[in-house]
Amino acid sequence: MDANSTTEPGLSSLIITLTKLPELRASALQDLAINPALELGVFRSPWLPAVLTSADPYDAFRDIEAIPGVELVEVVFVELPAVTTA
Amino acid sequence: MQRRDFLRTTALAAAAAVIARRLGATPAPGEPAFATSPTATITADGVRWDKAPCRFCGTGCHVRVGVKDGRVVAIQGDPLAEVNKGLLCMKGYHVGGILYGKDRLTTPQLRRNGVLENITWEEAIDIMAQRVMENPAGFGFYGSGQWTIPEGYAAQKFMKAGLGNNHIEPNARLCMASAVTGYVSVYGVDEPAGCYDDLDNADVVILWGNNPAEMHPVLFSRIIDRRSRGEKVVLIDMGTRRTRTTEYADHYLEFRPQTDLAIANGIAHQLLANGTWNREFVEKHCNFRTDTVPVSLNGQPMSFEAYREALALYTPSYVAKLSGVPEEKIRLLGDLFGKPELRITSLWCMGMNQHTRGTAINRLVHGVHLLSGHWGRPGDAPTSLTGQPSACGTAREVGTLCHALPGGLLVANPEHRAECEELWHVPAGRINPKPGYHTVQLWEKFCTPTNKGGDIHTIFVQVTNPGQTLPDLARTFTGKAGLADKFLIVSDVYPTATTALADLVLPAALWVEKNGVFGNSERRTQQWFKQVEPPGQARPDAWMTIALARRLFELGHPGMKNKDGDFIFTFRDAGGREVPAWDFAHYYDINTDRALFDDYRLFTFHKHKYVAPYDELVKARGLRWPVVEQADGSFKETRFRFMEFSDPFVKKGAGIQFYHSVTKDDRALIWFNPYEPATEEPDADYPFWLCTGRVIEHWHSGTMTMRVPQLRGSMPNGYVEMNPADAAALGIANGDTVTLETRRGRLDLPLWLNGRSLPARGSVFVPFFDQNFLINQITLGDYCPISKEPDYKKCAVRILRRTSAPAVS
Repeated sequence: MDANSTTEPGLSSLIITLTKLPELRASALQDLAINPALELGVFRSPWLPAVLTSADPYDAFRDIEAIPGVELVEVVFVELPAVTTA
Repeated sequence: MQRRDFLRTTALAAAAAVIARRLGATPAPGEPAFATSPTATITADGVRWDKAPCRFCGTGCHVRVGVKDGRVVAIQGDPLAEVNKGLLCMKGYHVGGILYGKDRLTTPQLRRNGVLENITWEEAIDIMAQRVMENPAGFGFYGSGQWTIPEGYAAQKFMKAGLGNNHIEPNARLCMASAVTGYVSVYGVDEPAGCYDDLDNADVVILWGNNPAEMHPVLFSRIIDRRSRGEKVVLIDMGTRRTRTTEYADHYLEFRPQTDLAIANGIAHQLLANGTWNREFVEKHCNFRTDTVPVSLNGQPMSFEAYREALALYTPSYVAKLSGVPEEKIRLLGDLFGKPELRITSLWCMGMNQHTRGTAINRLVHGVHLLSGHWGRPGDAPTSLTGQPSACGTAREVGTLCHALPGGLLVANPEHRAECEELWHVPAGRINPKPGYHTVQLWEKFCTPTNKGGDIHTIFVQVTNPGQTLPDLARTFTGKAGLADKFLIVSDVYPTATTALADLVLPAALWVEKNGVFGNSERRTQQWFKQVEPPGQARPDAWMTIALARRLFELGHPGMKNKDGDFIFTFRDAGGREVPAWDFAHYYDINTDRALFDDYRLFTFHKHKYVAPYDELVKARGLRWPVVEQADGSFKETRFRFMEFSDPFVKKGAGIQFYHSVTKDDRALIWFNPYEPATEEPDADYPFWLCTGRVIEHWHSGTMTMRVPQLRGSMPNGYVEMNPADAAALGIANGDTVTLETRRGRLDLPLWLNGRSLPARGSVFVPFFDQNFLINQITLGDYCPISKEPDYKKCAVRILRRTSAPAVS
C-alpha cells in the first residue's frame, strides 16, 4: 500500500442542482461564486455547470453539497492528478 | 492553449453538454466530437478518448477514458450512455486511478519456504498444469462477477467442456444467487423483466434493505433528478439502519432484521383483505406455489384459497408487532400496492439476497407486484440490482456456477448437456451431470484435510478476493494454512488477503489494459477495447485459462480435445489459419475476446436471451438483450421482457406472456413463504445484531479503491457503527476501540458514532472494505438452502470495551 503518496490539484466538472426557491438560490449562487476552487458556467435552471480544482475533491464536493440551496452535486468529468510519492 | 486550460474548457463543456441534453438539446456537431464516435478519437491536446463501462458496480455506467503517453489521464461520464447520461459517482470518476497503485503485481511468483519468489510465466503454467493433471476432479476454479464475459466463458468451457468438472463458482454466489433463484422460481428464467427506464416512470420507489445513495449513486440520482424537475416520486426506505438514502426518503420503515418476510406477507394479506388485488391480472397470468419439505427450487402447487388462508395470520397488527414497524406504515404499503393508478418499482440488492431466507423474500416481493398487478408497465416492476459489473453478464448469463451451463442451461438436464456438447463440439458425455460444489462447500472442502474428505486440492482464483469476502473465514479460507497438499493459485492486480495465503500468484491485466465485455443489472451487454498496456508481465485472465488448457492438451489430457481431436480453444484468423493464442506473443494477433464472445452467443438463443453480436456492441454503449435482428439487418434491443409492446417473443395479442413459465402455461408463480426467524438471533450472551456492508468510497474488499489516494483519504479505515444510545448504555464513546465477539471469533474495531449511518438500537454495522479489519473472521457461514447464498447481514454479536491486548480471531 502506498501510504505516503500525495496528489496535485485535479480538475473535475460538476453539475450543481439548485433549489427553486429564488432567495435561497441567489444565496447559493453567491456562495458558489466566491469559492476560489470553482469556475462556474452558465446557469440553466435548475442546473449550474462548474469546474472544481482541488487536491481533495471529496471534501470540496461535500462542502458544496452542504451549501444551503444546493440540492444535488453530480460529477461528469475528472482529470486524474499526477500522483507523487513522498 | 496549455493542456491544463484545454482540460478546464473540456470539463466545463462536458457539464454544459449534459445539462443541454437534459433540457432536450441534441448533441451539436462540434460538441464533443468523440462522443458520437464508437471508436477512439484524439483531441487537440493529444489525449486519445475511447469508451468503456465503469469497472465497479453493476449499474453499468459508461465512461470515456482519456489516454496520453500510454497512461489514463482523464475520465468523463459518457454523455451518450443511456445508463448514466454523462454522470459518474465518486468511485466512477476515479476509476482510472485503480491502474496506478504503486504495488501492482507484475511478475508471476511461487511461494518457496514461505516466501514468494519470481518465476517465469512458463514455469507458472507448468506448475498449474501439473496440479490439474495429478487429479483433475479435485481442481476448483473460483472467479467473480468481475470476470469479463469472454474470461468467464473461457473458464466455463475449460472446466465443463474440457475437464468434465463442475467445481467452478463465481463470488456472485455471495451476492446475487438469491435473486437468481427468485427469478427462476417465479418466472422460470433468470434476470429482471424491467430495466432502469422503470426509474424514470415510477410514482413510488420502494427500497427493500437497499442503500442506492451509496451503492448505486448514479441510479439514485436518476430518481432524485426527477424531483428537481418538479416530478413527484415517493421514496420508501425499508431498512435496519438509517443511511444516506434515508435522508431523501419520504418514509423510513425500520424493521427488525429478518422480518422483511413478514412485511411482504403483510402487504399480500392487505391486498386480499381489502379486495384491492388485481383479480384480472392474477387469473390471467399467475399460479400459486408454496414450499415442499424439504424446500426446493420449484416447490409445489397451492390453491388460491390455501394461499389466502396461509396469509390470514399476517394482519397489519401482527406484522407491526413482529417487525417493529408502526402499523400505520404497514397499512401505507398495503394501500399503495392497492392503488392501480400508481406505478411502483421495488429495488433490492444485498439486503434481500444475503439472507438465510433469500430465495423466499425474493419470491415474496415479486409476489406482491404480481398479486397487485403492479407488473408489466414501465415503472411497475420488481427489480434486483447487482454489485459487480458483470454479475449478470458473466456469472448468470454465461452460467459460471457449479450447476449451470451457458445461456440458462443446467448440467443436470440431459437435453441441455447434449445441446452444449454439440455447440462445443465435444464428445457426448463430456459434461459431468452432477453439479459441483457451491462456493461455501468448495472452500470448506479446500480447507478440510484430504484424509478427512477434503477432496478439493487446488483452487485457481481469478478477479476476486475470497480471503476477505468469504463468510466465517476460519472455516472457509484460513483453514488452508498448514495443509501441505493444498495449493492456492491467485490471479490478481494487487496483493490481497487472498494472495497472502497463495502458493502461486499471477499478475493480471486490469480493465482497459485488456479487451472486455460486461453485462450490467438491466441485461445490458457492454464492450470495450484495450486502451493501455498492463504493467510488467501482467496478462489477461482469459489468456491464463487458454494457456493452461493448451499445456494440458500438450500433456495429453483428453478433455482438451474436441470431437475432431483439435484443441478446444482453436482460434482462426480471417484467412482460416490457426492462431496460437496460448502463446502470449500471438494472443492479440486476433481479437480473442470477439472469438470467445461470438462462440458464447450461440448458447443465448435457447432461453431467448439473444445477446447482441460483438460488432453491434462495438458501436453501442451497451444493448439490452434479447437483441433481435430485424428484417433490414439491424438489431433491436428489448427494454421490457414478457411484455408485448416491447418483447418480440411475446405472442401477438397476449399482452403479457411468461414464456419460460415453470408451469409451462405462460404464467408466473405467486409464492407463499412464511416468516421464520434468522438462524442466529441475538440472545443473552450475544445481544446485538451484526450487519456488514459497503460504503460509497470503496468497492467491495477495497483492493482497487484503497489504491486511489482520494478514495482512501476519504475513508481510510474500517469501523463499527452503533446507536449512540447503545454506546452510552455500554459506557463507550466515539473513537474507542471495542471488541466484537461472535461464536466464530473476536475482532477489535474503532467505534464511530453519528457517522455515516445510524444503526437501529440493538444492532451494529461494520463495512468490509478494510483488509486490516477482516470482519468476515466473525460473520456467519449459514446460507439460504435454495440459493446457497450466505447471510452477511444478520448474526449475533456482543460488544465489549477493549480492556486488554488486541483481540485476534
